[in-house]
Amino acid sequence: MFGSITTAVLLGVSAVPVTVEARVGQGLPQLTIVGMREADARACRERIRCGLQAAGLGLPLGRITVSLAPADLPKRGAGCDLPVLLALLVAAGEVPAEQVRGWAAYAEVGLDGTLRPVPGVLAATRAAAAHGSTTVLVDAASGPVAAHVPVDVLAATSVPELMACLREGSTAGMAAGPCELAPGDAAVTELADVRGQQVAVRALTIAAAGGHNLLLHGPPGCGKTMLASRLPGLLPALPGEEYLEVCELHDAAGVAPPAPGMRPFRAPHHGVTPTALAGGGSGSVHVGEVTLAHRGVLFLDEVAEFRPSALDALRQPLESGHVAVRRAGWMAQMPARVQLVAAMNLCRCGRTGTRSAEPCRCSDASREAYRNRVSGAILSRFDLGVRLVEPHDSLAVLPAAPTSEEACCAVLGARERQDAHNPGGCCNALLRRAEGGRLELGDDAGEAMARAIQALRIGGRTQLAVLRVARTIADLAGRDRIVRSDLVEALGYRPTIEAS
Amino acid sequence: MVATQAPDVRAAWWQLARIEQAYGVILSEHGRLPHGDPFLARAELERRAARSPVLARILAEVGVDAPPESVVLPCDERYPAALANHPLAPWALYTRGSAELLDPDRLRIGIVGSRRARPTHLAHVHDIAADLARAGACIVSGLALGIDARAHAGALAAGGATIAVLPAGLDHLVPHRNRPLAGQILESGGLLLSPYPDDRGPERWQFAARNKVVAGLVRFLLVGQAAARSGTLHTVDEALQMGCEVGAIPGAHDDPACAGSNRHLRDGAHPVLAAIHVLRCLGLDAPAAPPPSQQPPDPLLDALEVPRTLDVLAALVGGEEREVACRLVELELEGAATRLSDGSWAAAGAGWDPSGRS
Repeated sequence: MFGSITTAVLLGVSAVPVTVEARVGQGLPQLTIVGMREADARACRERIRCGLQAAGLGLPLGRITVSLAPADLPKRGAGCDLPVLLALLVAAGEVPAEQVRGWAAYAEVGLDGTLRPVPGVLAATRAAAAHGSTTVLVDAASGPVAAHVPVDVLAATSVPELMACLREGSTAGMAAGPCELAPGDAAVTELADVRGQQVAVRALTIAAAGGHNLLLHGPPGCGKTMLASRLPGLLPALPGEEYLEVCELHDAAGVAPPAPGMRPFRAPHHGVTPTALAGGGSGSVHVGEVTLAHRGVLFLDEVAEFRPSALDALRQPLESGHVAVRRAGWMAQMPARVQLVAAMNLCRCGRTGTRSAEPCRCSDASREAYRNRVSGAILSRFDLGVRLVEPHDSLAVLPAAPTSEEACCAVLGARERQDAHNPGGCCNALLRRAEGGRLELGDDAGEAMARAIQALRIGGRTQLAVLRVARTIADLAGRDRIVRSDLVEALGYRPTIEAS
Repeated sequence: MVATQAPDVRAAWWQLARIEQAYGVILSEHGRLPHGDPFLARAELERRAARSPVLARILAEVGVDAPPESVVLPCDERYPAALANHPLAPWALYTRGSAELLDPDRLRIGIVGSRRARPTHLAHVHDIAADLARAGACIVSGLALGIDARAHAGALAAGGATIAVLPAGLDHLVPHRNRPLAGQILESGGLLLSPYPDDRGPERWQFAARNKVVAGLVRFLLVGQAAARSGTLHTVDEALQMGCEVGAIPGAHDDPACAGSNRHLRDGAHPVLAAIHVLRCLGLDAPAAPPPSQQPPDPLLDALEVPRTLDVLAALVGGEEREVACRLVELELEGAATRLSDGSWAAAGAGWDPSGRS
């Protein structure tokens, strides 16, 4: 009178395998679920009772105990419904234990017996497979998604259908194959829509080629948001495995993943809370925007309007490439390697730098306060800074930027050089000075750098940013050594907004 | 410190200054005291103490000590003569830095004006201050934001001497944002000066005494830019009372930010367009102009006379924006151009950079 089956619970974006055990013993009829918070256990119990009734079955008579092990792991979510129900059926003798040996299950049970999708199915399937399960049973909607994991995936629409298959002894009808993880091609924004702003377009190309963080500042309406939204179209496509990883993160957060091969582009509103931006929370782990943007672009429009605590929560993820959430009793780590793009005005009223008849009335102090809302620690993470200007001519006569395809070709060429020459094939934005060779300057470029350090008083952090950008410019031009013109161009892109 | 009178006179002045320090306000501002003689003033205070228990207690507590080196007293040679004759002058000037800038034979020129001045006026004031400093004048101002700070910065840029007169004690450098500038003034052999003891915090009513000291220190007072109701007008009144020359930089006739300075011009102040106008007014020769450079003029440098953004520069000199951007960085490396904090470009050393970097 014992049944056991594997499932997984989400902790942040990663799933932890959990064994569900059920035992029907002697005593007054009663169903107790242990190893789960009381409120969740009660809800699970009611859903299972109704789900069984819908399949024409009742709870086995006797004292039933269901345990989810390990018991001290905080468990949430309705993904445990189906494994608890299956373990019960095995314990009651309705399903032979042999038939479900090595199975894992992950789905919510509805009151009419239907199986419903639960966020995190990719992560749960992967965790179950890693734990030794050979077959994973999920709901019909999640089946094609889970099938991307190399393990046998079965998908059922409802408990009655599942029971019918199990009684027949053949599960072939439930086998699921992989499908596209996201619908169709996303509407890719075209770089050639941008007119004028030659320097900004060039900086955007460099940012795409080297994975550099980019700060755009300029008056409202000059095209900062437009430019930033063109960045995903310039970035090289995500290879299959990395795309699956991105989909897993989105799936864990219950968010639709980007179109196949596309890198994520997340643009949270400036009212976002620190937890929503960086991830975390107290009872459960919320997946932050920075994790959703993993391997893609995190765009902070009007970055000076974000609450400083939210921006500062990004300091550690930007440095280390992951978010570590530690709370009493548990800890979760979520990947967060993003390319940061931020846009801001020059002052709060936004009229500085515009040709509007109404002049800017901001005082120096308020201008400084506006700039200081972005802390120096965040500002120092930007390798590239571009001051955009309002076009002085009608847009129609300004030259158009190159098309996304042309720019993407150049970016791909530069990325190939980085893959071949950088240690570990990392992008130039992650190069460190100690890694030598690639950041070395030719004689005339070295002399220009020495002059720049003296005349422009640039600090160590900025020097490294300039070197990395110069490296990318050289890669775009197909050069092995950084020459003087690369360095001079890179110096022109160093961020000027400094926290004072 | 050069003492021109017997040590007991200095000590008497210093005792008066300390009484004032303990009392919390400049006593002479509270009602006329006999000036020019510390013993008479002391006698008058003792008479008043009969009616003021606070004053009586202070008089009893403050003894006669030797004054510290850094204090300039009305009996000293370095105490400005114009101020010494003023009935409401402070009894001590607290200094930090090169006190020889207060020597009577030094040419000192004051530059004062609005905290929120137009960028063109700020740059102009910077240039004039630099030229005057090159001609050997010491620039006196109040370390306030705007015109004052640019006048100090201009003098420093030319390697000249400058005196900052503060409205609070020297332990309370205000405004906060100009503390780095105050540090530069001290490093470059300038002087910080205050009519208040070191531990006195900034208070609104203390600005009047500061303005009086600025006016008393200088032979010529230049108003950079002032609105109709500006604290600068108070400094000008004091300067006129002390008999020093006053000049002003003209502004547009309908610009409210220049209404005050324009009114001075109408009232007879010297119009000042360049440093030479100040020097001529004082009967001095202008320094020799630097020889014109032999290099052919760079159209890009010419275009940087006023701050401009990249697209405008590219349109003016002709050429791709990217190429012009690289030329600008080359100019920046040569120290000929500078990028301002808002991202536009200007010629270096013209005083456009508000952070004071040159």
